[in-house]
Amino acid sequence: MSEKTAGHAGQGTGKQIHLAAHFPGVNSTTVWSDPRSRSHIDFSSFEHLARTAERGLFDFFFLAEGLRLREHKGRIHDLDVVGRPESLTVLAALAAVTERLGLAATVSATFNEPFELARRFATLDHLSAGRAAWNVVTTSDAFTGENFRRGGYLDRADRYTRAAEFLAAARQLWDSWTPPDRPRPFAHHGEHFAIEGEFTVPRSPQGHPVVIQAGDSPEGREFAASAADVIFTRHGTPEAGRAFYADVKGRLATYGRTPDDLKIMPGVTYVLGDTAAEAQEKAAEIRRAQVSPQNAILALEQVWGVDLSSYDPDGPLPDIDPDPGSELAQGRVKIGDPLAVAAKWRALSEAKGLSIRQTVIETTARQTFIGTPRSVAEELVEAVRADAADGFILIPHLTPGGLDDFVEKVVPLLQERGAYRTEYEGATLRSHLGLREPVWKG
Amino acid sequence: MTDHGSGRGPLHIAAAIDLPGTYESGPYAELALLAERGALDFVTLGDSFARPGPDALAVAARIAPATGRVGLVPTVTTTHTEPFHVQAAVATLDWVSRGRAGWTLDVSATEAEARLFGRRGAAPPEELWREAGEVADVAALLWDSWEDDTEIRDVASGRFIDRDKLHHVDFEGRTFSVRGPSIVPRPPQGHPVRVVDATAPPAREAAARHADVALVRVASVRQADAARAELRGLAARSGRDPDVLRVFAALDVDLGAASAPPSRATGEGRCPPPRAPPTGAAPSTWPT
Ligand SMILES: Cc1cc2nc3c(=O)[nH]c(=O)nc-3n(C[C@H](O)[C@H](O)[C@H](O)COP(=O)(O)O)c2cc1C
Repeated sequence: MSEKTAGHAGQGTGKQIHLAAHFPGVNSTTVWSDPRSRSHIDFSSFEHLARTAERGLFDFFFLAEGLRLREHKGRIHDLDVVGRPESLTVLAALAAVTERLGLAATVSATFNEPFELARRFATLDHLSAGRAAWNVVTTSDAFTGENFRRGGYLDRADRYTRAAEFLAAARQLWDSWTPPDRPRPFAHHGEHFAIEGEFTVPRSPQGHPVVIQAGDSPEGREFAASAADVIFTRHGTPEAGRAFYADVKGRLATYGRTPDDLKIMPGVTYVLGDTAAEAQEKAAEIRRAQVSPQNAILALEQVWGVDLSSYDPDGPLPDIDPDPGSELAQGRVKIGDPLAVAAKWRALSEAKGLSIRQTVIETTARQTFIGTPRSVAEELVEAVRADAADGFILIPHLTPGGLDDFVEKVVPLLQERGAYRTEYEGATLRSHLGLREPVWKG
Repeated sequence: MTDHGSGRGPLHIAAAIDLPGTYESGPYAELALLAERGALDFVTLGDSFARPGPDALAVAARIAPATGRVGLVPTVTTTHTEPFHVQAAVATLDWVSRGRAGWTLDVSATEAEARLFGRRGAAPPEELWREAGEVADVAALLWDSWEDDTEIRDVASGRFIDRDKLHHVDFEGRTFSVRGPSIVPRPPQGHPVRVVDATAPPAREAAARHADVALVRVASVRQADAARAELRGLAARSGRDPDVLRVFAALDVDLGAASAPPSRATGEGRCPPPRAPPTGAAPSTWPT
């Protein structure tokens, strides 16, 4: 580790866990029907969750993005939380009510331009004194494009070449001033962008905001290996995690990078109970709230791609085959091969005698960690020590109190095991993550 | 409105809190708090891609939690930014400030700004202001694309929203189209306040048609009255009630502190701002 990296000396010898908080909201894990669930829009909810994460000494607070409201069968999807405020503006306000917590926004590289977005992230990094992060996503669907001048012009194959060039251009802009305060002209001429002029913001406290990547295809992994500081992945189980971890870390050497330069953080859910049995019971109850009867049919329709509204959620799975070319669900990250998924679901339903709703619960809603605070803490430590992850992005199911119990009960146990910081050592997100400061390429 | 046929009510005052070369939030928050203590209507933060400075809307959001009443009005340009992003950011500023957001529409007319984006060439200001007007129109449509009681949380039917209260906007402008609805629920004010600097002639039509507040930089009360009459006339001709348009005169305020540069305050009233707003230390460049 270079001197610039924030070491964890004195806080235990083993590999240290990194934690981040995902604001709940527009996704199928959020339980809005719980009486404790509050607004997903009011600033007070963001403030509550961010302050909780900072109390728990988390590395960062994370906001997802969707640039068009999701539709199903040609109508706006109404069963999950709908709507959210714009991330960078929320994070700028959160910078006022937190001091150390990293602030991460998911922003599409497709429906933005490098000059403007680089400027917004550099501004956030200044306004937060070095806590900004950008999750670079690569929307390519024409459905979302209908909200933009640019339209849905981007071919799926081009989405990462644009993202990579976008990020390279942004880095050039972030480096373009002569420290401390002299703008210098920049010029970038590439396949996707031909831009030149002067950037309006001096180099920011972190040099470059932290870059996160969240795609899973080979191209996505390659992009992450070449340019990202953190990967947000779905591979949260120990086996899938280890395979993913080895795959991605193995790609780093090609780019002259070391395994420490890229942190792998699966998005995970968890349920705590005083006993293992109580945790299991609570987990089952949460899954039933997440997968209402209506949601079960909808989940099935997303796989099958056809109208299944006449089916009974408590009855057996349909015996017709899915339509792989369907556009029934719009604005969602696509699931894998629908025929394979349907076959798997059918096999499970037959083997265990599960209804439609039970099958959907079983296949889509199982929480990653369920148990007592002690057993969950042990599993987290074990996953990190076994190189299934460098840390976790926790996705609570309740807004805004969903992390209260974790911070109160699990964090102290992680600290006790020497696997987690007992105070913030540095001021910037880069220092929390133990990342090098980017070299200034003037 | 406390209006007597002329659209005039009590004196309204705003102040520009621009701080060239300042990228951290503290000094901005201090000025906004001073303005708030002086009971000003709002503070403005200028912005342009053509000169150094942070993103003004982000600065406004950053100082929102530290303030409680004063309006926060950053400049947001409409020439190179996606209209959908513009409206989402302004709506979000309204959410994080609990109903205190506005935006000063502006255009980017230079070739140098166009080259920063590399997507379209420079265009005449008249054309860009017409487009800015369309951005204001689509923003209002998108803010209204969620009815206020869209969120229902009906557990029995499993529905979080009543989707009949969400509306596609299907806006077709001359240079862009937007399907909608917005991703952000209707902001607390419904429509955050629209401000236009109507000093330059190409901006006047847009100000008269779209602004809640028009600013004019003037040197005298007579000039202010003339500008106000012109804007009200234009507003009436575009089919608006001229009384919904407030006209603020922008004046440099020298508070007598020998070393401080003049501060710029804007106000609406028969007289130019008679009292110096308590932003005495505010060096200001708005609107350059
Ligand atoms: C864990 C995870 C989280 C994601 N979050 C978002 C998001 O918030 N917004 C978005 O537009 N796309 C999101 N994506 C989509 C990716 O950016 C990308 O478009 C998608 O995964 C397809 O790329 P791929 O083929 O490389 O996986 C996410 C993907 C993953 C795996």
